[in-house]
Amino acid sequence: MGHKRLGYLPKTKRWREIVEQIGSFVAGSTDVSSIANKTLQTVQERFENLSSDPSIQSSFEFLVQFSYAFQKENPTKYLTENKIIETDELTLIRIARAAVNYKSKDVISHEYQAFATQAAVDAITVWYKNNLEQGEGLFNSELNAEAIFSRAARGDGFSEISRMYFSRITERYLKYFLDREASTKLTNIQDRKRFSDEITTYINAISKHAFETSKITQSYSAGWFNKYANENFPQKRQIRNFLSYAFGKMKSELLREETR
Amino acid sequence: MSNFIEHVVWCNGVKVKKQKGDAKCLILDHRDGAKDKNVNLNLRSFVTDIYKLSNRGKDLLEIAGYVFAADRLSYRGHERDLEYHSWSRTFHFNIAVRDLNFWKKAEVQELLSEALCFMSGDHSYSFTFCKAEEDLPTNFFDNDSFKIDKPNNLKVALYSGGLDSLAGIIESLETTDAEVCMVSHQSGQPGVINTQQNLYEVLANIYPNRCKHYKFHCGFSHTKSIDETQRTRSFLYTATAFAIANTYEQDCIYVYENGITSINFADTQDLMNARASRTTHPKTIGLLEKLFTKIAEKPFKIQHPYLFKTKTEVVDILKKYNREFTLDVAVSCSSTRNHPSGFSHCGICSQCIDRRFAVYAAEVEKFDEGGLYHTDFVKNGIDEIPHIKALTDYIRLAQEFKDIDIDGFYLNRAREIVDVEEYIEGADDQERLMKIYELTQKHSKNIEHALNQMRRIFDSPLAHPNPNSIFNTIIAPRTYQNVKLVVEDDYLEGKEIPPKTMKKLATEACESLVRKELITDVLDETRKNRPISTLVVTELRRKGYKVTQRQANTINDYFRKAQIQIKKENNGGLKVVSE
Repeated sequence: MGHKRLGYLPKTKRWREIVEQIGSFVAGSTDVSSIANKTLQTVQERFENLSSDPSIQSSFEFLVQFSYAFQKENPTKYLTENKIIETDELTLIRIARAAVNYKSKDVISHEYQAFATQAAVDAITVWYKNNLEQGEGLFNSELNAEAIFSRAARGDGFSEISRMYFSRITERYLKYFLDREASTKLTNIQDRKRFSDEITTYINAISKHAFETSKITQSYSAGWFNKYANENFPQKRQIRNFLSYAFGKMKSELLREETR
Repeated sequence: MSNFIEHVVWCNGVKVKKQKGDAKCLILDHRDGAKDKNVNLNLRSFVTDIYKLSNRGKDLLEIAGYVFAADRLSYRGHERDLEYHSWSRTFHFNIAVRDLNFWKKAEVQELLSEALCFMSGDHSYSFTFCKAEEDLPTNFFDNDSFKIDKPNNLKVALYSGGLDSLAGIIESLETTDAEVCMVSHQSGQPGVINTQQNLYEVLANIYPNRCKHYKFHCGFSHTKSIDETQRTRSFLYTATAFAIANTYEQDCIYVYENGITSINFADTQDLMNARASRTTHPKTIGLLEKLFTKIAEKPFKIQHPYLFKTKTEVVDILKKYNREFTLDVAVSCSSTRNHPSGFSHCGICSQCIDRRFAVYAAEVEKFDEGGLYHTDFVKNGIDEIPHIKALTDYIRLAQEFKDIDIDGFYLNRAREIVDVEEYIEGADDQERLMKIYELTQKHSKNIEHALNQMRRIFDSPLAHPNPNSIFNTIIAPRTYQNVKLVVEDDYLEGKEIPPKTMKKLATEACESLVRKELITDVLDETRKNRPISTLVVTELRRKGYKVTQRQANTINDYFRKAQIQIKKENNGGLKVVSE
């Protein structure tokens, strides 16, 4: 009974040009930065408006809640008492499930909700992996997940989780369009994989530039977290403003690359 | 702002009320004698087949039938929409039911809604139930005083006519002495009805008096479906099986589907929110199980025995019991529209692709090649954009799984794993994760083995390469044979071929191929097998001509009808002759 509803890009000139560009990726005459920039240019208004989507606000609020919980003496108690996580056993999968279920009824677009929950789960998982000792596996039963996650309670920890969130949501949003026709132009699976991997690497680098190299967003996010989350949980308005700032920053970084 | 298109559905003669706003109105009625009957639901003959059915059971089948009909009559957006917000719809059903006290309970409606939303990707399902008029008993036994003896040894299994349900039923018949109730939904498509009937007859012949086929018909009358998808069909299917099981006092039903199809991992980012179907996803099964438990008022289980098997392992079951000959009777194709006549399989939908790989991986391909496939991508290759996309993304998924460790798998697929893991058995979340991971590893190995098999048979290094072969286009071009690959799509700004010069150009292209020794023998051209015209079309495209599918068919006709011929000369060379 399995079925897949295959999607394609609109037939407008702009999208056709992007599809043709994907085709010239193999020959080396186009790189992913150009394709990503063109794609973002085409959907830039929608991309910026992601910050006002309730599911995206909820998923980011979850990340704030999560980091905020680890400022408490008993983070698990905070998370369970506030019905953010179902059980007091803090495993990676249960945290991921909590991210998916957090305010899941606040939805006006299931597309955006999917990006949002995927990005939140990705951000926590990748951040956790990066904070393990080299060679340690995600599911090593001797690991103390709570101790590792306590690093997320600091401004720099939160800043890094945020960066990954924005990196992943941007990557997934771009792939939402590009994946539809990439395999029609890059039929060889090795080329297709390289294209996908290079998009991931490129968006990650862009997010690093937005958050680290420029130092603006990094200090903004760390400062924002330290300012608003040290005593009380930030208000919705403060979260909205942060999202708006960060999406704007990601957009300008991506479009700035185009003019270089 | 809400992006969801609202549909208000009035069923079973409930009086239609004026609606506010832009909601779309659908009126559905299956009752005999109804003025605007537009749904065919053979509830009465179905009940007669099983002797009796409780009022609640009849309500369930009607609800499932109306949900399925509304699903198919409500548009879900275009494949080229920029964003797919139209995919998720909201439905409000107004239905007259017999057991009103039960259906109006909030928790029952929540269970219904949760299961339907997940399996369909829709935003919401809500219901207003009202009391239906008393209906007449469907037959002499359809009353409370008639008791059906609980059968000793019965298995109720979903039966679609596909490979997985076939293997499941054969395995049950081989390993137990149970009688198997094979439960089918039929929407009126003759192909599906014939497949199910033919396969049933094969089984009834091999296992006399061991199986019985129950068919529940639900389709349209005087109207046609609007959307190709039918994501709520599994509710109709399982509800039918549940109704039978409950009548015969069984506490479970069996759904046979391999795990890769059930979980249906998205191979592209846009395949979210049930655009990769979740008809037998573990979460769908889990949510339906909760609903049926509520309806039965006792624990009810939906067994999913092949959840941790790949499609290849399912085919291996047929092999194990020497039932490979049933392969060409079973139909796996999920293409419901534009189904090519004369073929049981389109050959290129996700289910056809999966089946072909499984059959090659299990090394039983000779049982599956009786001209079943309209597009035979293994033999003839592919040149149409949707086919290339479907196959490339299918193989990419197996490539993603290959040699990845469990951390990598989780990092790539965490969001999807969360939905599956909660609904499968295992001591803890790590054990459950490991089961899903191992399934993907087996799948990847199966696909690799299938590709090796296909390559061994159809891509011998000494054979003439087919430029459209999947080994050239998708896996790795045979560059050592210096094959110029050109796979263009319909967006190419190529030169138009003037109709009057088509034959001349095709002849010249063919001569060019002979000169380049890309054609070295007189080949047979048929409508299905197109060795010459495929090369000629590719050659024309390489020369910058835009060749449409219709023109490709005309070129095929030239060679098929000998209007252009390749003839062998006395010196062994080849000559192209045009009428």
